Amino acid sequence: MTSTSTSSTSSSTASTTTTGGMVFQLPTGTDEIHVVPLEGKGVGRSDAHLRLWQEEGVFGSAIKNETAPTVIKQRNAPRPKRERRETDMLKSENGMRVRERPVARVANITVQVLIGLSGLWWLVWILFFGTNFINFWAGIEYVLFATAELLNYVFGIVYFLNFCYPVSRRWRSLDALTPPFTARPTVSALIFHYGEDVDDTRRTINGCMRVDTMGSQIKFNIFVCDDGYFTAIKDKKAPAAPQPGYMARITMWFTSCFSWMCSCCRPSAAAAGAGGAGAAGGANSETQHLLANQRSTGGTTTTGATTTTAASLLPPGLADNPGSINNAGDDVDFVDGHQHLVDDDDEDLYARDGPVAPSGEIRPSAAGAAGQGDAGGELHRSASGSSLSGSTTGSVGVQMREREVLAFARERKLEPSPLGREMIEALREEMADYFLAVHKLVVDIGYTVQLTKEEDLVRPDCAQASVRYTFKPCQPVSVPYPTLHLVARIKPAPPRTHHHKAGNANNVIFNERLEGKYVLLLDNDMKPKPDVLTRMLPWFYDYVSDRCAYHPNRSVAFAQAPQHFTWDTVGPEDILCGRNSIFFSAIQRGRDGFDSCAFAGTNAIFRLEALRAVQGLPYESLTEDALLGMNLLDAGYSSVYVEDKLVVGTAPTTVAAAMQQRKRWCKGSIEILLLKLGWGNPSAIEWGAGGRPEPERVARPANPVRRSIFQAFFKVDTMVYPVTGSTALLYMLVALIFAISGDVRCCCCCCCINTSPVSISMLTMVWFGLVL
Amino acid sequence: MLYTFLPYYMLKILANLISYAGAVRGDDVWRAQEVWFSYAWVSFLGTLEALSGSTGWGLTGGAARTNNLEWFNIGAVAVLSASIIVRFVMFLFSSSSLMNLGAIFFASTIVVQLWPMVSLSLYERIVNRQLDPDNIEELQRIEIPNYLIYAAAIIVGIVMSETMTTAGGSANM
Repeated sequence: MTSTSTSSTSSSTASTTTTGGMVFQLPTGTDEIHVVPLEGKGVGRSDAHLRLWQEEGVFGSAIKNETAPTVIKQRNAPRPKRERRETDMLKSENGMRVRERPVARVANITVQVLIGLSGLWWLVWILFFGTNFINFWAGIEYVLFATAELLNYVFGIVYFLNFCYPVSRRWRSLDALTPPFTARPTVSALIFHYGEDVDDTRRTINGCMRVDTMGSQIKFNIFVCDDGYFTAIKDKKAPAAPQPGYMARITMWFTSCFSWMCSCCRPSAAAAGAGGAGAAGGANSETQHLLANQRSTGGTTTTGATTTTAASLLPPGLADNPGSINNAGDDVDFVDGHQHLVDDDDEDLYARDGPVAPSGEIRPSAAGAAGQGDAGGELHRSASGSSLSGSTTGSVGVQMREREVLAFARERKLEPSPLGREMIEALREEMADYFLAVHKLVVDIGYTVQLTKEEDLVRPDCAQASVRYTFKPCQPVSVPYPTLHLVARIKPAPPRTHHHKAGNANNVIFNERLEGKYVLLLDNDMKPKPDVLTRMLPWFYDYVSDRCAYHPNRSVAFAQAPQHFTWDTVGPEDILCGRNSIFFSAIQRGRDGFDSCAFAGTNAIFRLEALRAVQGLPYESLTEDALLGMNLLDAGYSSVYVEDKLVVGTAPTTVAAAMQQRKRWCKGSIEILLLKLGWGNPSAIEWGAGGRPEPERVARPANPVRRSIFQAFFKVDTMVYPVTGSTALLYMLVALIFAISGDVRCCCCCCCINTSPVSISMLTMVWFGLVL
Repeated sequence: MLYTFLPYYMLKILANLISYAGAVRGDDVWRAQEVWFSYAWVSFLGTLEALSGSTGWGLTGGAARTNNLEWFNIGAVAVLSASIIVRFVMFLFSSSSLMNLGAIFFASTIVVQLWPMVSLSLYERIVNRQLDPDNIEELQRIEIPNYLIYAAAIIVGIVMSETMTTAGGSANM
């Protein structure tokens, strides 16, 4: 059944499942067909309920019907039983690879040798026997054509070397290994955001929050690296926007007054009913626990060592509407998630929006009642330490009140952008949604703010300072949950450059002192599937049989998963070639044969020590991903390609966006080429007072000669592919001149024209076949 | 060319078959070929920008729905389409018929490669621009109905056969 399946046509393809229901076959990815059970009342009924184990954006576009079925999102629905194949991780398996089609490999190499020879003969013929300069246009066409042919020959040879040794990895999952995997790795996910739609990022965070951590055996931290959080304060002397009319202004004033009254009356009313919240213990965790009540009561609570003076954070007039706890002793500001920052000239203004969620209402699930995981320990650590954040990373930043942090930013002419504020709210909601959906807990989410100043920075080349928001439940919970942070850097002041995405990543890795063993890099619109960690982490370990244990294979720098896109962003025809199947299904496989797959910018897990060893993400190219992969391979590391659908994202849906993306890729590749040729501008890395990390002292095996040779070819292919695109432009120009002038006595065209129209068309197709 | 280009070309096709077999669908290979032409202009510009040392990111997610970069492909299709028509008319009335036919085939092949992305660009400019942002349809393209294509092909074929028959008859006379 095709992508245009409709309810009305489902009768032709519906079949009966074992449970007696109807099934609906839908294409949900590139070439997969998922069978979705229809629990409807009959075939073709618009009120059929489709139960999906995981929400995917492809469904809406798969059914094009005015009366589309209602989709019930069951986020905690039982996952399908996964296929389990060979899972033993033994050394005898030769690096866990499966060699693909040895006969085809030999044939491929043979054909490529023949291509080299025949292509050489073809070039000789063009250059020495096919010259034609009988007039101006013929000469131009000849030069263009011969140049394109020459470039295509050279780059074609390099290109085909990608397919000499294709392999595919075996299916492995961390939770299905024998003997069982017992290590407890820490993984941090970095989600990069700048100015993109917050909803896309929310989907990614949603996916991250639901990643399978094997019952918290994998410690998982999520960092949203928001490069668009801070924006320059607009010049107040600049021409103001047209003012609304008097009536509109009066209406706005009344509206603001009304909303202000509503926001403060509600807790006051609650306070009248509930009375004072009373005193509580001095522990910060208990203080958090009281937050919800505190917000309801609107009073001031004195705890042992902590004075809760939420009103002190509020502007005059809102003093009876507290929402924050000021931990005077630790100088900590825990801000109620139900509050958000409102733009104002001089003061940070906190206001309420929306109803106050039922606080303190905890309905423990079975898992929660059983006390699984270490989330309780997480809170306990927070309470016992001097910090409220409970951060698991080694940042040396100082926790401050949010208003102080924002004042710090304001001194540098910066303020939170509307998109940044929206992101803060989105993160809070996503975390609350996670507790509700996964653990059946209704909790309030707040956040702490932490500032790393310049004197503590490790890499001042990418930031003046770094601000971290850490989101946590306001009440103690006894269930495991991933930690969630938002990191916003204060970028270096002009004329210094901030290095785009690479600077954003390095800020988190170095200035925020990212800890743990592994880093999962994700673009903001790449939603991971639950088994992304369990499927990718096994490739970083070797089983040592004499010790009966898994040991990290420290030569593996990163594992790359392919990019898959939702059906609605690539469409059935994939006109913009968002899937890029040749790269992800053929080229990467071929490079993986030499343990040298490329880093594709997202969907990859890195070994943190390897990243630090090459000094983080490079600045010299816009395609920092390609350059980073090269740097790691040059340093002797290897990479692994895990060809599985582990992350699903969105692709550009407009020609404009796709062209911008392609142009950036091409530009970055040429920048790498210039850098390797010694003509680029290597960016000087600055090490700050925060301390330069010790270089890694792990002895890695030297690259085998054969691998080094092929890696060199792969690098050339990565760097020069924009030039091959330019050869297409040459062919287009030849066609254009041919069509306009019609006076073609160029070598090839003459031959064809003198033969037959059929051969003309064949020749044109031949030319286009050169790209293949 | 029979002994120079053809072996080279056939070996390349064979290498493609071996490399992509079981891994890449034929549609995706064809799409890659199409975008090789469609992105040729931006590849060239990107190369130039890198050589000129300019810096700039070009945000993908936050970009506008249209871009001046698209005009090159639109212009190329327009010029080639116009030249096809002119060449066809010249084919009917010119003595160098095969030359014109070659130009038609060559230009048509380029237009076929560029058209999918150009049709997206045109839809964005003609249709989506008129719609509210909430009603914009993604990845929609201007489509020429198949029956019109077939009808045009039949008309062209009849005209060509008639012309060539007449020319042949005149030559015989």
